[in-house]
Amino acid sequence: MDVSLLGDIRHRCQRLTQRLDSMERNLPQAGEPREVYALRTHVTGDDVLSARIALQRGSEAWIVYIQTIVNLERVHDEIIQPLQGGSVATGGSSGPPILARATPVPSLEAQTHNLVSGHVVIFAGGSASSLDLTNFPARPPSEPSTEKTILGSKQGLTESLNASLGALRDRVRSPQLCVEMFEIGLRSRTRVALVYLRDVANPDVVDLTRQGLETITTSHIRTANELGEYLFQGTLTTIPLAEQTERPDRAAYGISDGRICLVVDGTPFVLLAPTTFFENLHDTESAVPGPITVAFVRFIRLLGLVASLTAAGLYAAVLTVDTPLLPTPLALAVAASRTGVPYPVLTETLIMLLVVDIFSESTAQAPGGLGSAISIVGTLIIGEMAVEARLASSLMLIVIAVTALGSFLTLKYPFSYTLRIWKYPIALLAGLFGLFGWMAALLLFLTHLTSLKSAGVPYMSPLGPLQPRTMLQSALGEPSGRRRIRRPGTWDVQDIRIGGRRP
Amino acid sequence: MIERLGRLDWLGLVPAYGVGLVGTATALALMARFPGESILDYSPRVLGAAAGRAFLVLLGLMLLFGAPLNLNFMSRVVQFTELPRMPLLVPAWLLAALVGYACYFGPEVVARVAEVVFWPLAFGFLFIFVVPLAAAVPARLLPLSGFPWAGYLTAPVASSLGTVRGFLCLLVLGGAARESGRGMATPAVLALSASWVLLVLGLALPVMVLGVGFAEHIRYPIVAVSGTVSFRWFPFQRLTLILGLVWEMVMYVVLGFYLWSGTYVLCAALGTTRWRSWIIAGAAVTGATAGLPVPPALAERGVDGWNFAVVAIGVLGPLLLFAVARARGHAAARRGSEGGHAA
Repeated sequence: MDVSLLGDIRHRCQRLTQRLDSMERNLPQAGEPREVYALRTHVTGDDVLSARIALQRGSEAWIVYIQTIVNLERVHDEIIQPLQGGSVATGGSSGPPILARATPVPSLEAQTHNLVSGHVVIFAGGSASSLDLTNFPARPPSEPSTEKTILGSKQGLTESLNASLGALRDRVRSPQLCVEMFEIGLRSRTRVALVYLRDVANPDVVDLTRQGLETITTSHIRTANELGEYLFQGTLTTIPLAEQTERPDRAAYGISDGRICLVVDGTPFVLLAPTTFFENLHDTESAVPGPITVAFVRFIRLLGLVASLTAAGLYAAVLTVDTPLLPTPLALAVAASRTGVPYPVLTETLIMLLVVDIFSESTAQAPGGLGSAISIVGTLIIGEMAVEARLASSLMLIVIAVTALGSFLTLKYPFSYTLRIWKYPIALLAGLFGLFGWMAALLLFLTHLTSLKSAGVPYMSPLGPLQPRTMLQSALGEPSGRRRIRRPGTWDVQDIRIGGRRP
Repeated sequence: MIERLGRLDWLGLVPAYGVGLVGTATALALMARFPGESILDYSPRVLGAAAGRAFLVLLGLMLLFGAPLNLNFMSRVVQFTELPRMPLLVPAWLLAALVGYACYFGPEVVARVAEVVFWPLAFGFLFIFVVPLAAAVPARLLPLSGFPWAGYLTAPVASSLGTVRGFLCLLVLGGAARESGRGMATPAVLALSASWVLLVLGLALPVMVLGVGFAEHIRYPIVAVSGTVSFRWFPFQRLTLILGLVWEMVMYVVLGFYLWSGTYVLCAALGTTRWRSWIIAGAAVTGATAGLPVPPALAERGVDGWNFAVVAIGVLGPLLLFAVARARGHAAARRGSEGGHAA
């Protein structure tokens, strides 16, 4: 007989055995009540188990649970042992304390829902109740990886919704802090918490978000960003219209200012809305050193951001169309550096931008310390080789370095993608039409930014529409301590004064 | 008129600014009489359905005509300063597409962009006004009658009529400007009035005090005369190229309001609400017509016709509207139901 045929038969037999095992598990156990069997088989999976617990006086109780998501030790200590030692009365004072804490779940639908959420469903005394003994895999809080800080808190959020909510409650200990729970995703049933200050947050924004959450019909919600796209994006844009953060202090600060926060189970990032362009320059610690330092730091960040967006375009514009703009010595130096470069300035610019983006993406995706190795190889070795091989001018490398480094100055990682994408049309128009095209592309970008709204707030607030006081606050940092008596006017909150009116 | 005035040619300033003053006052009076309404709402009510609609058609056409006219001017500046070998159609189309994109989102976006670009614009204008001071002769105080106003009245007239056009846009926005959450009407009125006063001070007084050299350097295209100014310490000639960018921002805002308000008024007068679709067509036509090579004589005639239209339709039209409304006792339709607006 053919060896491959034997292998095939063996494989089929194994699959058949597995199916038989599975079918056997799905058969009613000896004495298993109908409702227990119905629940156990309603939720598909070999890790769905039922167990009989013999009670005193000859009666019995049954429990159903999913062994991979409950704390088995607690099941034994808090359910099995107490039940074996007490009566079956649920909710009564005479019953075991564990059953007094259990939630009645009369319908199969409710039982199923709680079961897949990590509860243990207990059938005893003719009724069903469930107890939350969830033990979803979770990691301990660690330092945020995308939002580094020197002086600020080192604690980051985790994938656990409860832990994230706890971290927020720890920082906003106000009785007005409102947490509304939702389940999004027809299949994933991802828990989402809408968190806001009831007496501060704009009720229109809260209603808009609540309505949006209630109308989402999708199978799965994987990330906070995905939820943000459902709720706030709505337009074809590269710009994130809700701020993502993995810092609990940042989220708590946003909530205190009257923004709403969305915590999504399974992701360490929360969403803050509304948001504006200038939030990309702000961080939690920048208010610490005082207004002059804050203004300087934010100006540098803005400069870097603008340079990242426009430097390549300016290079292309000045070297293709507006060459008279260069002083003669500089023009000669540029001409000398470009000697031997075989293609036009615009082509050189676009190629180098692409190369840098490839490096940036590979650095971001590379595991562990490999990323820094790639960036060093990319910047030092490849750059040097490109100049030596006359594939790019040395000035081009400086421009590209400014472009790449400037994009890191934005504190929000998703926004850096916007800068990376928009520099291409800017460079293209600048290379074709000089400074006129450069300015036209910038105006296009500006128009796009101003046409956007985040949860009803214009994205370019407080510059357009202009709110001078908030703009000043935004430029100099939010005054801390006794000086900070007003929330930013951008969010249009119910109560602009922090701590209420002065006596 | 200037020629007839002879040594009293400076009196030409009076009608130049007088027109602007009348237009501004009429617009403010209409806004006060019809609070919460735009000119689209009350002109058919005041003038009658047919006449009101005809007036709106004329107003829309006038505003729309301003778009290619200004775009043509801007494109020629761009062609002259930066892209001498590029056909006029290319910068015209590019700018028209850009403005059309902004107008598609409505006047709010154009206004917000105007707010954002105001600061770089303000610095640019400061530069334009301050740098030519070096070419002026501060010690030479010219008596009013000693200045050849005939050649320099264009700027005061343009600024005056520019203010009128700004108020016309405000009339079209009408209730939207007044009733928006931010109460845009008051700041807009203040800004327009301030710009008018600043232009008077910025154009008329320095010219009278500092001499012809100053006037030459602030008249656009500034690039054309930049060669006459030289500083050892400042690369003025190079920076004039950058000043072209300032005008690009100005034109963006100006064109934006022309294109939007013209299309919007015309669509309303013709009974269609799909003004967004027509904005795209309007931008395409604006780009195409602005990119046509216009002979200088025809261009000059076009500017004259444009100024005449602004005075006839933009100043006298609203004046007539106000007079008729006052004579017939028309007032805001919503005054009775929403009394708060009247106050």
